[in-house]
This record gives sequence, structure tokens and C-alpha cells, in this order.
Amino acid sequence: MIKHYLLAVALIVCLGAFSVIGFNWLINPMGLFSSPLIPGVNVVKPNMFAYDRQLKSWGISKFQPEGLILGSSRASVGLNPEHSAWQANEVFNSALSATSAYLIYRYLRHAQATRPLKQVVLGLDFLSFNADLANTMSLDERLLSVDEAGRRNPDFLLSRVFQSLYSWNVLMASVSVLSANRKEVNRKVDPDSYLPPLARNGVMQPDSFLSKFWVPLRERAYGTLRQYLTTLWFPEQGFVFSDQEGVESDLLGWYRQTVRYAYEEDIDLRLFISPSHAYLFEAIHASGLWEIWEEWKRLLVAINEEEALRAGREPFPLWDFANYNDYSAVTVPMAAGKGVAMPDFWDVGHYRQEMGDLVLDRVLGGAPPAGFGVPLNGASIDAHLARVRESREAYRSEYVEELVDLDAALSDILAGETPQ
Amino acid sequence: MLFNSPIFIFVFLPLVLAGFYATSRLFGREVTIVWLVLASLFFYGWWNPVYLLLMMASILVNFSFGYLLPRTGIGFSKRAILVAGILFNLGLLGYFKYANFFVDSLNAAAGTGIELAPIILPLAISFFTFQQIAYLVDAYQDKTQEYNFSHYCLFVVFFPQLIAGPIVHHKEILPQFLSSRWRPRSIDIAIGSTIFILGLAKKVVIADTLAIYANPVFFLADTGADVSFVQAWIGAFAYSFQLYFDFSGYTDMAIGLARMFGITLPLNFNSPYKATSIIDFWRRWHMTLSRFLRDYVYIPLGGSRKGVSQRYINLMLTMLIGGLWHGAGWTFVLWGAIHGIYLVVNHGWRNVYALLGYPLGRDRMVWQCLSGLLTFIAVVIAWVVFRAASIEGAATMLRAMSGIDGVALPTSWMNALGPASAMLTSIGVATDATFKVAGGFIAVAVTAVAAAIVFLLPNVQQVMSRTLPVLGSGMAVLRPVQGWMCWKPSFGWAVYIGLTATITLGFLARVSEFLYFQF
Repeated sequence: MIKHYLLAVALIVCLGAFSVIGFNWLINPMGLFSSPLIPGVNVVKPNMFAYDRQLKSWGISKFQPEGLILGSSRASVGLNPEHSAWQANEVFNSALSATSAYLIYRYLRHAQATRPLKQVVLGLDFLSFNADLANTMSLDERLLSVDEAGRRNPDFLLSRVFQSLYSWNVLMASVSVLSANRKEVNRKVDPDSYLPPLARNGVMQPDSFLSKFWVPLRERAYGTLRQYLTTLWFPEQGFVFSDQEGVESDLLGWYRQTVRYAYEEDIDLRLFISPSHAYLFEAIHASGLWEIWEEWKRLLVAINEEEALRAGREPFPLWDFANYNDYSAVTVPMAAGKGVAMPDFWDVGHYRQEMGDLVLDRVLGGAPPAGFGVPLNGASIDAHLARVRESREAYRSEYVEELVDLDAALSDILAGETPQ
Repeated sequence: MLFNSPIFIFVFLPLVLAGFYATSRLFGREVTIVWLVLASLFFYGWWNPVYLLLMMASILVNFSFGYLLPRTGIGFSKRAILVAGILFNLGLLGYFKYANFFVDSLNAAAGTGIELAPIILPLAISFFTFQQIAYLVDAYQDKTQEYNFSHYCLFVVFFPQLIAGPIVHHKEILPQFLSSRWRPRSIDIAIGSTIFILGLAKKVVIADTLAIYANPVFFLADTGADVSFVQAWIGAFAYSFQLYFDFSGYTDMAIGLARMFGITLPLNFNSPYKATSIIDFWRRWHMTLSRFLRDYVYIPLGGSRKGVSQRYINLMLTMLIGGLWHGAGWTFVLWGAIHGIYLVVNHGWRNVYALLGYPLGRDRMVWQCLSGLLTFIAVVIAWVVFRAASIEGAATMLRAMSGIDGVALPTSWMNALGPASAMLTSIGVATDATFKVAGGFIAVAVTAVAAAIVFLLPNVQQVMSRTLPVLGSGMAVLRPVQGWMCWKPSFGWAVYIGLTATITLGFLARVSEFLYFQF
């Protein structure tokens, strides 16, 4: 009787587990496996950004890249791992949405532990240095092969199997993929044109930025800015580089660790501050963060140079694209509708891959347009920041009418009201 | 290695069980004990092998003291050996667990600037230290037998109870290793795995889900943000149930694991939230800790033998020590003090009750329910202090829960309440359009389900009572259940446990979905 009981329990568990595993493998909601693509079942895979921590970690283990892209969703949708100027064999885009300087460091170590890296391009964003934002995100340690100090995570392999095949999160994701594919519009999607991120070396498809096409472009921009002002920079609680709570949120400290680690491991690190549309700079100004933003740039330069001195090497190149130029200081049209878009940006924060290619031309060595991207160093930073301030004045006097609207929208957002 | 990690369940446990069967059948008891000691040391060293050295040192020293204690005439008195042994244990615990706390408190109080290098708290140190203090005291009182070193090691390091208890007593565990009936049996595997699966479900399905709703509220309070009346109560209830399911689930797993190896552990939780008084609560919550504190702190202090006021002082001291045992922080001391006061009030009330001529324990159902509710609320209030990261955070939560700053409900809730909302408005409940409860109705629903399980269903040990899942002292207080709720190795139960296991295993790798996915 006891043996029958044990056998029955074991059988039920095995049957249940293998059904779940089989279903998740077939639907493949994160695109991790090479399961068949069946129209009406699993071709379209929405909501990929929600799983990016997992699928980028998985991708690093799978691709074993020699070249790595790090940064936030800007780098994640905008930088091409197959750009011709890379000096590394396999390149993987492991940039994460709303990343923090801490996550950047951890994914760098995960990749280095998987295979020694040759070249890394790191796109730096102001939001990744906000300790208040970093505090709201916890990293699931089971996702990475090594811990903070580089010690092997012994649970990594088995956890990976569970997290990708046998968990209710994945089952729910599978169910939502299945229901999305039942929709008429998605049944016709050509499997070859709709590739999950891992089939594109980690580049994320900016499909979520394309929704709400019926809203005028400029209003969509205001909506994006509200997310920055109320969520990412938290102007109410103040933008802080670190807080008292823990070491993890000393974000400049983690940036320093990243740079130091690259020297120690002989990684060719290329740094740049991401391009954005000028609207974003206006939002920084309106929220009173401009001086902190400038200070952030100064600190990025100073830390890079201090670590170079410590390592007895030349500082890693650090480029600033977050300034006023022919791409960023342009009008945002009022128009709405499918196909209406800004030429170089998905939204005021995210640049398109065409601009990403220009960034990589500059950062990795190619033929970028003159004046696109400014090299930063300790000697030139103050003059550069002064030029950005002057350019802002010029921009404001050139786009007076458009900026009246923007100023009103920003002050509404900051006052907690919805812009009309 | 955590009991709820895939590597433990699918690699470590099957290997150790296979080894247990093999050594037991091929080589006999002594080799089996050595195998289990080595497996337990591996289990402990998995986190950080350096901890192993510390634990081994603690075991060696305590075993030596225990060896010396019955042997007088070596130049030291028994008392001196006992005092040295206890000082060693308290010293170890004091340094690794409390040094930073004392130095920080001293710096804050006296304005000094003493700095200590960071000390990493070795896992389970509170548990193995207490177990060994009990062993030394009993050796001093000639209540121990002669044990050999490997048996003693297994008593301390046996992996099911090593990390989070139950705090076992040598006289209830060591004789089991010596029993002629100790051998692998499939009935123990069936009973043990059933208890383990139910405990695992309590931990990863229920407790970890409740944490999703409790954590954000305490995070807000601890970071100085405002917490509303409703939010604070949801957070407090969710945490109270989370802690119960987490801790008692872990204990169930320990009891189940030990049973797979043919060892029965003591009862540690006996539906504590069904207690009808605080005295009753402490007879049901973390029972092995209460027992330790009673036998090795409260009674040596004098217990109730030195008059009423001294008894209350002893109670307070015991609870303060109990509070500090849970963690090195002022919130834990305060939590202990609150429970000390509760106990003093409870004992005082019993005296008054008896003086009025009412006999205890013959209360009506309604009175028992009201007492139970009052006890539960008192416990929940104390848990807020226990959970908060700082005294300020606890104060923020309690202030919000008290309703001093007003009581407001979200508009959607008021609308949902229909006519009742007018009544609420008339007694001063406001409507707040801007306010959103973390998790909203789902948080309330999940907490309500947890409450229903706690208050309406029997606990795991009750369900398993026919199999004698815990030691005799626990069986004496367990109220067994009858009929279909009582486990038996039937097909129906196999389906239920099999499905529970299938669902539970899917929660092992739960990844919290990332909310800011657009940036």
C-alpha cells in the first residue's frame, strides 16, 4: 500500500511536470529554444521587455560572446551587435530596460565568467544612477552565473532549467503568447520577419513604443516625459546617486567597479552617454535636475580618469551624445497616425538603430558625421558643459512656439496634473 | 542550500537518501551516522565553507566540556567548567551576532566613534549555540549519557533541523540514533515526503505570495513615506500570515525531511493563531524556543517561585532575551518587551479572573472567539515591530494602523461597498480618490485565503496525526482530526499530494515580473 502510494505520487508529479515543461517548450514564450514556430500558436511573442533580465542572461550563456553591449533600453533597441566596426567575434546585446549601474556591473561579470570579453560598449544613462529607482528593483541572484565578487553560483544551471521551463511565470507567459497569437492580426505574421530577441543577438524590438499611434506624436512625447519625471528620476524624493540603505545603491561606486574591472580583465571598454531628443533635456531642466545631470557627467569623466591612473593606463574613451545637435534639436511634429514617426528616435528617449549605427561608428571607429559625439575628458568637460548650456539657449530661441507648449506640459506634469 | 531550492530537492536529498539506504544496509549504524554527519556538513558548507570551521570548533569545544563535566577531580570544579562552557557559547554568539549591534548602540548613546570590521553572521549560529548550551547544562546536572563524538556531531548538525530548528534536545534525538529500530523504511519516506511537500507548499506558494503584498508596505514605512490606514493593516496582516506560513512551513519541511531518515522531531507550531491568550500563543508558536527559554532562562532566574512581582520581572527578562535572540536590533528587543508586557498582563488578568471566582477553560464559544481575536490582533501589532527595519518604520506603521491620521478608503472600494459606504462616511471614514492600495483587492483576497487556511483548517501535523509525525510531548497537545482530513496512504491522498507537489515545484523558480519594462 505504501509503495503504491509513493509510486502514485511520483507518477502524478512526473506527468504534471512533463506536461508543463512540454507546453512551455513548445510555446517558447521568451524565444529561448529552437521549438517550431506555428502561426496562430507561438509566432508573435509580446511583452519581451518584461523578461529581459532572464533572456539576456540566458543569451550570454548561449552565445558566449566576446563582444558585449551594456546599458539601458536605449542601447537595447538601438545598438547593433552586427555593426561592422566590432573587433570581437560574437557580439551580444545584453542591455536591460531601466537598468542600474549595479546591474550593468553584474551582467558584465556574468558575461566575463562565461567567456573572456574583448570589447564592451557601455551606453550610460542618467536614470541608471538614481538610487531611488535602483532600490525598487531587486536582482534575482539565480539568474547570473557568478555573484558580486565573481564566485560561481552553484544553483545557476538547475535554476535556469526551472526558470525557463517549469515555473508558473513561464506558464502564464505561454498562455498569454497563445492568446495573443489567436488574434486575427497576429495569425498573419510571417515567422521569418518576427524574430525573438535571441534570434537578433539580443536586440529588443521596440514594439511597445509603437502602440497608441492614434495619439499625436507630441502628446506621446509628453507621456514619455511624464514617465521620466514621475518614475525614473523621482523628482519628488530627489535624485540621489546613493543612499544609506545599502552598498548596492552606491551607483557611482558600481560604475567605478565596472571601469576598474575592465582594466583588471583587459577588456576594451568604450563608454558613451546616450543620445536623446532635446525634449528630454528640457525635462531635466524643468525638474531642477540640470545641475545634478552636469555633475553626473563630470563624475563619469573623473571616475574613468581616476581608475585609468590607478591602473596606469590611458582612460577609456568616453563620448557624450546627450547634447544639442542636428539629430536631437529638431521639431516634434503634432501629427498622429500609423507610420508617423520622428526620423531618428522611437520616442524622445530611445534612438533608432540608424542613429545607433552612427554612435557605433563614433565609438568603435567608422565614419560618423562630423561633430556627432563629443569626447569627454577632465580638461574639456567644463567647457563642453558650458557649450551645452549655450546650445540650449539657441535651441529655445529657435523653437519658441513649440517650447511654450512643452513648458506648459512639463509644469503640469510636475504639478501632478495631466497635460491637456 | 535552502530546502526550497531545486538543487536541494533534486540532487542533494536523493543522493543523501540513497547513501542512507546503502550505508545502513551494507555497513550498519556507525557508518550511516558518519554519512549523515558528512552530508550535513556539506549542506552547511554550501553557503560559505568558512562557516564550517566555526561550527566544527563550536562542536569540538562543547563536546570536550560535556566530556569533562561528569569527570570531577581534574582540578576544576564542575561549576567552573559549566560557566566556562556557557561563556564560550555566549561569547561566540555575542561576537558574531551582537558585536556590531552593541558597538553601534554604544556609538549612538555615548557619541563614540568605534568601528568594527564587518562581521558576517554565520548561519544557524543561534540554533546550534542554544542546543549545545542545553547539552552542557544537562551534563552539569548529570542528565546526559555518554555519547560518542559522531553521535554528538549528528545531534548538532543533522541537516533537517540545523538551519531553522526545531531546537532539538539531546535527550529526544540521540536515543533515536541508538535505537535498534532505526533503519530506512518506505513508510517513513511516504510520511516524510508528504509532510515535506505540504511544508514546501506553505512556504513557496503561500508565504512567498503574501510577501509580494507585505514588503512594499513596510518598504514605504521604513523609507519615511506615508502609509495609509488600509495599506498599513493589509501590510500587517499579510506579513503576519507570511511569517507563519514561512516559518511553520520551514519547520514542516524539517520534520518531513528528518522523518524520511527515520528521525522524529518535536512539534514546533501548533496553530498559534488559534490561541485564545498570549500565554496560549507562546505554547503554540516556536514551541521548542519557548521550551528552551522556559527551561534554561526563566526557571534558572527563579521562575514563579519567588513571588508575583519577581515572576513578572523574570517573564519580562525572558522575553527580552527571546526578542534579542531573534536578531541583533532594537526592534527585536522592543518586540520581546511587548510580548513580555502582554504576558504580564495576561497572567495578571488570570489572577483577577480567578479571584472573581470564574474557572479557567470553561468559557463559552463566543468568549473564546473574542479572546482569540484580541490575542491575534495583539500578536499582529507586535509583528509590525518585529518586521520593521527601524523603530521609526514601526512607529509609522502603528500610527497609520491606529487611525490617528484619519481613515480613508479608495473610491473604488467605497463604490463597491454600496449602501454601507454611507454608514462609513457618517462615522468619519473619508474617500480618497488618489489613493491606491498596493495589490488592491488581490492583496485583500490573498490575505483572506491565508486567514481562512489558518483559522478554518487543521495544521499539517494534525492532518498527519495518525502517523505520529512529532515526538510524544507534541502528540499530547495535538488535537487529531478524523475522517477524510486525516492522511492515509490512499489513492485519493496520492492524487492530492501529487498535484500539490506539481503546483508547488512550479513556484520554486518564481521570478518576480519586472514592472518598469518600458525603459
